[in-house]
Amino acid sequence: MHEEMPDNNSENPKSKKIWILISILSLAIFLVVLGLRLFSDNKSMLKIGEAPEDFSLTTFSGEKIQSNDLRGKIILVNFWASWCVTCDEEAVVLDQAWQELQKKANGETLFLGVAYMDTEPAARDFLEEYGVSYPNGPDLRGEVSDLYQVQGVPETFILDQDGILRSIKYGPFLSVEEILSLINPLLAGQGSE
Amino acid sequence: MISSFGYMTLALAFLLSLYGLVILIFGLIQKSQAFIESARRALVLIFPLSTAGILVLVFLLLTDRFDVAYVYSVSSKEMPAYLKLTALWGGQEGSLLFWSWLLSGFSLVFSSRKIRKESDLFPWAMLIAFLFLIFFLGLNVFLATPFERFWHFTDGGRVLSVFQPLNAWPLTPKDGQGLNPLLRHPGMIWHPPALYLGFVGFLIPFGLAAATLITKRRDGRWIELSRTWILIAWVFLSLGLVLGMRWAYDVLGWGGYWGWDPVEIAALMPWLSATALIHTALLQKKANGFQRWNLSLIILTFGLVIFGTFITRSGVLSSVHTFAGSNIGPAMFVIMGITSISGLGLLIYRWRDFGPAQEIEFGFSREVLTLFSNLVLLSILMVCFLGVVYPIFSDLLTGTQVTVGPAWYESITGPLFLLLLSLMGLCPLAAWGLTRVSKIRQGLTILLPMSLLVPLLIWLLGDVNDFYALTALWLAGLAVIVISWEYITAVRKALSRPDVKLPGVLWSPLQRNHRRYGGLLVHLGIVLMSLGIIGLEGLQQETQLRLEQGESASIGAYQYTFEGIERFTEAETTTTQAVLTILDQGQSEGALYPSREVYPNLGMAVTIPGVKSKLSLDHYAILVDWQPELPDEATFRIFVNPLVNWLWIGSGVLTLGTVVAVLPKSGKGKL
Amino acid sequence: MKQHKPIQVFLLSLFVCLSLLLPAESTWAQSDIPSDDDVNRIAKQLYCPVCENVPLDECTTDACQQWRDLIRQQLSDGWTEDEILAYFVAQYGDKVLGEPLRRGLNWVLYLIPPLVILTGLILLINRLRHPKIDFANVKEEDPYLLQVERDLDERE
Repeated sequence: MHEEMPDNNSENPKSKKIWILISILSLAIFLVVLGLRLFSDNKSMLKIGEAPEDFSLTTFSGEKIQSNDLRGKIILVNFWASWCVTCDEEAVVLDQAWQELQKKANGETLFLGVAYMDTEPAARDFLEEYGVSYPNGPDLRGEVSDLYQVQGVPETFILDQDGILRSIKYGPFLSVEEILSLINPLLAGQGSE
Repeated sequence: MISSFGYMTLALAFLLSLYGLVILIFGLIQKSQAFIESARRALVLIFPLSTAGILVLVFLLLTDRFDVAYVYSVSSKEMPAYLKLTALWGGQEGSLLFWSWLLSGFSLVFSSRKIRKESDLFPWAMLIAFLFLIFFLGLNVFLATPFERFWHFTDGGRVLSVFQPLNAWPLTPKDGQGLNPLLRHPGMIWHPPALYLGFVGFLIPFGLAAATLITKRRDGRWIELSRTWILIAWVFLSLGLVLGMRWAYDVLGWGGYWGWDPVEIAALMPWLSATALIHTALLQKKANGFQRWNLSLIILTFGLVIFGTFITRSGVLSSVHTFAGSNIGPAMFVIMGITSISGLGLLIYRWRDFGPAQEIEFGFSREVLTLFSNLVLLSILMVCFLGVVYPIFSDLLTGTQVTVGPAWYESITGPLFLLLLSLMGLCPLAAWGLTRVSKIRQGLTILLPMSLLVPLLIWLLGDVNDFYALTALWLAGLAVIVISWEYITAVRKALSRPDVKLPGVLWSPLQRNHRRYGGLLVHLGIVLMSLGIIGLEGLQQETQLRLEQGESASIGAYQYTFEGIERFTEAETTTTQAVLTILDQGQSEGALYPSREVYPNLGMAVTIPGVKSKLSLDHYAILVDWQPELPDEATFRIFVNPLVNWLWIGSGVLTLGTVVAVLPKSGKGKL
Repeated sequence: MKQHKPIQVFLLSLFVCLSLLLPAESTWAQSDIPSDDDVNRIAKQLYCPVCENVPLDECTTDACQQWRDLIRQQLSDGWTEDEILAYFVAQYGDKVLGEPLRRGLNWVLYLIPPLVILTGLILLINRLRHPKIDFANVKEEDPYLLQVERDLDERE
């Protein structure tokens, strides 16, 4: 910004040049940074059909999960919070779907719950209360939700065997069928290949 | 349809501003007065057209035309007429139209006889006006039009459009969503128009300054022509800021009025640079002293106005999560880039032509103090700017999201604000210093010790121990004493003349030298406002407690008793209101009524504090938590906010002072 | 009440004579159940990560209520203020802190203001004609100063 431009020594050509340079540079940096912020946000939107970056999650039971170790599996990443109003019913539905998939296609899918901006005691209570059996972990420093550009909870992302994003669900899943209808085609796709 | 008519008037105004720009450039190249005159007529015609446009929107709002998307989003049937009117600036599209309308109104000033006489400056100033009119009217017409209506197709598809699409039928919702309940407050009703008047008002000095740079006119005429406009824009901006604070204090319910939110700072920054400009404008002599500096400051001010509009409307400063949605961000970015690059470019290009600044001698003079006040104001501005943009830099360079909150701003600007206070106390003394040094001595030996009594008394009697606050109160006291002394001296001088009588003579300084004493009155207003700020920043006391009915909480000598709670429903809004009675050392001081309003159809809850306001302090309570299952218990957060009322009183004094300074001398009357 | 930052302390030290008035460091009683005020004292320094620009002590959402409960729990477990703040930063990221940490790039926030203000001061003093601070014989008849004074006073 040009507020640092002083009413100064302007008759000395050398220092004048320096001040011109400083003011132009600061304005340029300022505009470039704002511009980058404004336009990059639109471009870097998470897109279906592309692979999001890998992440790691330490579950509440202490297990460390690296998403790139999970290639070959269909991954469902569910962002939730204990303070979220619609997450409780969804948790039940998700767990039923998880149980069913375990029976049907053991080892081919993995559900991951990510507690978004939640406190650990409340999150643990929530998991216990709704009997959630798939791995869950806290979103430390908000890194995973940043990566997936989560805008609210619940929000769910489904990645296929190659780690490519196949669907995004904003808001809660209301039935097991709804979840299976998104995962079954991916399982079938694996079978036909 | 009437909304299409509104749209047409705006489109016509837009085309007219395009025409005006082209014909004006033609006229400047051809040096043809006829073309320039044609452009001027176009400029004059834009105002009635945009007025018609805004009247159409007002009409649509008042007649509940919910088929218009904007009306649907900000208004509803049950809202009283005055709220429907203020819904005009309650949403993005409407407030942008309001902005354009003000722009076209202020542009009329360029066509006034006084400015037309300056035949060199006048066309270039118009050129600036046309550029901004094209931009903002363009936004109204293309990107954010308030006249879009709902339509539906026979197959059930829906669309938003100004004109009727083929095979589509109008869709009229039964009722609108209603104005955001947070905006239903007198402070919020007048805050946006005051702020916008301030923002847009700087177009006039900016246009004249740009014209001055382009034409190399060195006699400083621009600042004489803009002086009144700078003050008018400044006082509206000040009022806009204060009304915003009042709104935050009365409605947001967190015990304060200024949270150092980027949106608030965006409005404060042009105020700071404009304040600096008002001071150095005084130093600009007829020749050319401080011309460069003043030209830089007005370009900075207007640049910051555009920057502020950009950041509040593009959402670029909010976190990544909430960014989506604004389609005018890129457009605002472009106009901000153009304004700042061309402003800086012009300044650099013409720097030499505006000659060396006047030499000023170092010493205890008013000029030197003015320059120091400039330095302090711009330092505060720099801190604000840094705090606002730093999170973007941090996110971009290190990927770390940070919050720059009040603690950082206050720790760095606090001492700077104290310096400003002390400068306001010293400045009138410096004026004496130029003429007779004995007077400074007198001032220093009488006034300075007198001012020390202020913190001493407050410390002894007021149970205030905070050293920072005591220092601030001392400096404020010094400023009040010095300003009053200056005034009393002037009155005494006037009394020595034989033909004056006592009550009338009190006004004589204001009449004889309205600018100087108007200015002092403005300073007095600011010092009074600072009392409110010191009270809240340094002396606020608070406690939060869960109370059962009949129980009480206490802060110092005050006792607050929870008497009960009641719920009532009115037009779908459920209000839960608690009653807290106040006792001051056993004596009743009235009651507080903190409440929570729930708007189920908007999914919003608003916490309205209960406030009991006195000159010395405010009692302020918030209903933090209350559950219907336990109706006899509630959690309250109670504040004692000393001196806050002086913030509002001071803003009134400030306005009065500006009016005195702006009023032409001939129309002085009795004031 | 207010914490004194280095720059303020510097300013305050100018008024050493009154330093006896400095308030004692505020402390709070370590009772078993921390009061709402104890919780707010810490919550004030934190920001709600799910809402925009709302300090934790003022935030009314359920999420914030949980965070405050957690602070209360930690206080009653004997955690210090610094430990609690550090825990929140580790859990939710730097953006929960109202005042950025003095580390890494954040130093920009703490170094640039004094640097720019100092530069401005030096430039301004340089810019003024050389100092002649001689209060005893102030130039009573300096024509320029008198002119300015007249202008300021009489300017129509």
